[in-house]
Amino acid sequence: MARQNSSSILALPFASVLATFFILPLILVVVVSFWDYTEYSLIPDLILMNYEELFYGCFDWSEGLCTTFATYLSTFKYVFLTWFFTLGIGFGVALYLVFCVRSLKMQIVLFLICTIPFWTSNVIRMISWIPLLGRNGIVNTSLMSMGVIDQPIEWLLYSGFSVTLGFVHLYTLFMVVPIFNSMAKIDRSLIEAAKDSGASAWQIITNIIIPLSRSGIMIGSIFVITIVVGDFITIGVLGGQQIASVGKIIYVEMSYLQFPAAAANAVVLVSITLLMVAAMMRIVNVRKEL
Amino acid sequence: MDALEVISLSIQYDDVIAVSDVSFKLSTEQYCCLLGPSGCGKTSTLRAIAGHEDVSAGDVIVGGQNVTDLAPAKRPTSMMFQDYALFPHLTVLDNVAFALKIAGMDKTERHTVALGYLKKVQLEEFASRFPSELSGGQQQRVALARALVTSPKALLLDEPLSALDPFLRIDMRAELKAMQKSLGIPFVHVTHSQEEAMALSDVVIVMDGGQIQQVGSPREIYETPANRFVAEFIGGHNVIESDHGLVSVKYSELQIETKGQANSTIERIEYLGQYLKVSVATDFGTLHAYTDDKTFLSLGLTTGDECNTHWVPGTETLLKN
Repeated sequence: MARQNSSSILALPFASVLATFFILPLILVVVVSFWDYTEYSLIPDLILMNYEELFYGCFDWSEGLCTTFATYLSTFKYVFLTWFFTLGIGFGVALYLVFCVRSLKMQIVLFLICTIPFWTSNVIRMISWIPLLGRNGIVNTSLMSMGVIDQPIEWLLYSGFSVTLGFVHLYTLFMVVPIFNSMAKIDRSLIEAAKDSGASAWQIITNIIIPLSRSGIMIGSIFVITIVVGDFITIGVLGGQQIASVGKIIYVEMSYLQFPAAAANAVVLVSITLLMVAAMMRIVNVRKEL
Repeated sequence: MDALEVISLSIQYDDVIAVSDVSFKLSTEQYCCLLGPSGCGKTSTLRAIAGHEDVSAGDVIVGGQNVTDLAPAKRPTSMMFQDYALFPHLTVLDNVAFALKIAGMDKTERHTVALGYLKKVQLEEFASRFPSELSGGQQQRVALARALVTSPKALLLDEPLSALDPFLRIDMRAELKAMQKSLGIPFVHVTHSQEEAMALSDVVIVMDGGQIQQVGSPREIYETPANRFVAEFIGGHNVIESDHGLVSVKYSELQIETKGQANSTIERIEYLGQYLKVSVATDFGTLHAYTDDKTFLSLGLTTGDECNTHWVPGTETLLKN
């Protein structure tokens, strides 16, 4: 018992940081979402107005999709696309690192190479796509000089394509690391046993490697999904400020000092994200498999 | 026809030769142990027969078919791994049925077949458990059932008993031997325990430095070791540089007596139940003798006493080097 007390002291610094800068603000957000506001002031209150406005017209299907639902739909489109591509690429990279690279030294070197992009900031990595994909960017000019196209391709930048590309580029490593981790724990003799039983490379992947790296896949998915669901910078920069996302709505509301409306939006977003994470945890018992 | 034949097998990694020019033949009745210290090439040889190791030279022939260039899956061999390598995410039944699933057999049929094999190893009531819920001995039997489900023409076992506790090990080795006799296929069993090899084998292949040192029945190996390595590795042998050359004298053949010329001093006496192990210092270094306790105690010798140590001429074995 004494031992447990003294070890919990070790967790105290970080616990207090989390309590002050995460739990407390989160509670404040929930509280403020029930407040009233004018153009220049916040009025403490307990009203549902912010939520009512958020879902205004949403249940009147004759009008088509309301703004909120349409925004969520657009956000989830990018969540899904990003998840799909980061999972595919991340799984492939992890598979290569763990099972194709023989020496540990080479594994570490290649792994470090994967992290090099993280030496520069997120925003810079986003912005650097612009000169590449723009109307007079490197891709368009080289394709035109090669004679493949006569006119610049318009959908390369400030489009769903560039947003998805940006997300995938930024967040694939968040898939690679946890999947790599759980794959590295797979006993090599299991692969040999499967080969001995006649399994082809593809059958080994589907029957042995995927089920045994489930926890890594799940953790990576949680990372990517929770990051993308609240994003407003990437969608702003690479979407040319033309694509709607929930994060962006919150950001805009904040810049107009409509804090209670932004808070209500944030509460809804956090709830949906939590529900998604809970659903994923139900599929795979992450704690059991760590 | 030989059930399993290995011809001039060599395995080389970069600049290290792991196995060099290994040849042996087994019939269907034979239980064979590859015996040797770690790094002697026994596991590499086994893995090469299974197809998990690339062969630099030589051939592996199973049931008359040259399988040297075939993938593990295409070989009529089955391997049982050291730590069993059971799939942790599959039930016992699905583990056993795995190869059948890969072969495309439908679910009910493969479960019926797998259950038949689980019955063979007396584990049918554990079919729906996961491997982590079984004891070491049970896991080993699952691994055996999984290896047998493809009806292999030879079973390859990589230190199958090393993860078990000593008592279970003795039970399991009897089961393995009985299984081999009832299946009528050769078993090749890698071990570093000379006791295990002696108890199980019809043929023992002693390996060291990537080469075969001696092939023979356990009795042949024990009675007439071929060289210094074999004599020392299987134990129970004094290796002596005598006037006639290098010889080995079994501990049980070394005589310690009070009559005759004193040529040695007693260093240590260990009581081991059925017999005594007496160590004596001689001009040839320390030698050991196994002696009947009554005979020895009647001599009244204790540590530090002088005594006569000799062996009856003809009981020694001349060693090659």
